[in-house]
Amino acid sequence: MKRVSNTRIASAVGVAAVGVLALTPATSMALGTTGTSPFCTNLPAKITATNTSVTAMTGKVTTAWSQQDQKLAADQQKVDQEVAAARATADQTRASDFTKLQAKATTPAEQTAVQTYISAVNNAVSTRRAAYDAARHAFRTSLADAISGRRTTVTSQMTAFQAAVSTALATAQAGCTANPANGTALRTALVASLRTARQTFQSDRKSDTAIGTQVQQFAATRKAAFQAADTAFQTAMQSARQALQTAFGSTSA
Amino acid sequence: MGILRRNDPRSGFALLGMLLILVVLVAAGAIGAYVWQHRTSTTASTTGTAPAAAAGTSAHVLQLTQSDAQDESKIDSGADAQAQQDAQSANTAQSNVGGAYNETSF
Repeated sequence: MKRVSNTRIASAVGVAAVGVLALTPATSMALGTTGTSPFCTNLPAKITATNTSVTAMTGKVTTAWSQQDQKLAADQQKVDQEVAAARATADQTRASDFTKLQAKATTPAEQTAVQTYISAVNNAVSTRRAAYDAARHAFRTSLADAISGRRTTVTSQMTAFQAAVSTALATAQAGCTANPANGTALRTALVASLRTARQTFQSDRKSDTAIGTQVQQFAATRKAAFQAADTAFQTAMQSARQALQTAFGSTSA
Repeated sequence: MGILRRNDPRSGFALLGMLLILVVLVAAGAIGAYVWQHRTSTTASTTGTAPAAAAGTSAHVLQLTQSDAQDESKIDSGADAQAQQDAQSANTAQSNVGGAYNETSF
């Protein structure tokens, strides 16, 4: 008895559901009271929100670039200050050595030799420092160029992204204007377009990290320039030292 | 009643344990010796094996100027990691643009 009763209830519910569906207009699930789909009704607000968000995000990129410039400048200034301080200390220590060397020179020939040596050492130090400065400058120029180039690329990618988004939104809006009831199909097309635009832009981001490798390459180039300067410096120093020792007739100088 | 009784299986395990401890001690000693030797040679190579020259000599001037060059080079190389970080500092903001919307919310 119980099973029969359940079957009857199920049948009654099914009949009622079919009746309701038959009596209800087919568009009532997708359309509002004016015949416009909920998608098309909500689209203008969604477009505004999306445009606002994209604009805000691209604005943050500009801000990040500005902060990046400031950070780079501050860090480079810090390096310059440390180098300047190290050079000043080195100059003082070297001057102290020169004073002691001059005190050792008792004959005019030795005094002349010490003066020649001091000039040669100072020249070698200046040359080495100039080479270091040039290498450092080249490093920074390469870094700035790489960052600038990267920004140009990213700007282009952001422009393309924004254009794709705008086109997708405009197409959806035009579709809603032409056929407000076609919300489902318009939404499907819009979602696909926006997804493609986003995925393309995000895929482009994979190359963002390449600049880290570039910095390493620039540093390696700078290091090689430093080493070349060091080699030339050593040669000049050894030559000056040999001349001084010859003048003093010993290796005590 | 000896410690290592021929017919007692536990005596074999005791011997094995002692051998194992011996092997571990030898290995630890070898590793320690290697590390100590490596650190000694590394320290010697970084500090320079040449003795410090007397002040007021051209040898001292040479050492000082060489040291200055190394110090300066270290300042630059020490800032490289920061430069690398700076160069990539805008990457997050750039990536976030792609998350400006969620298309499924339409």
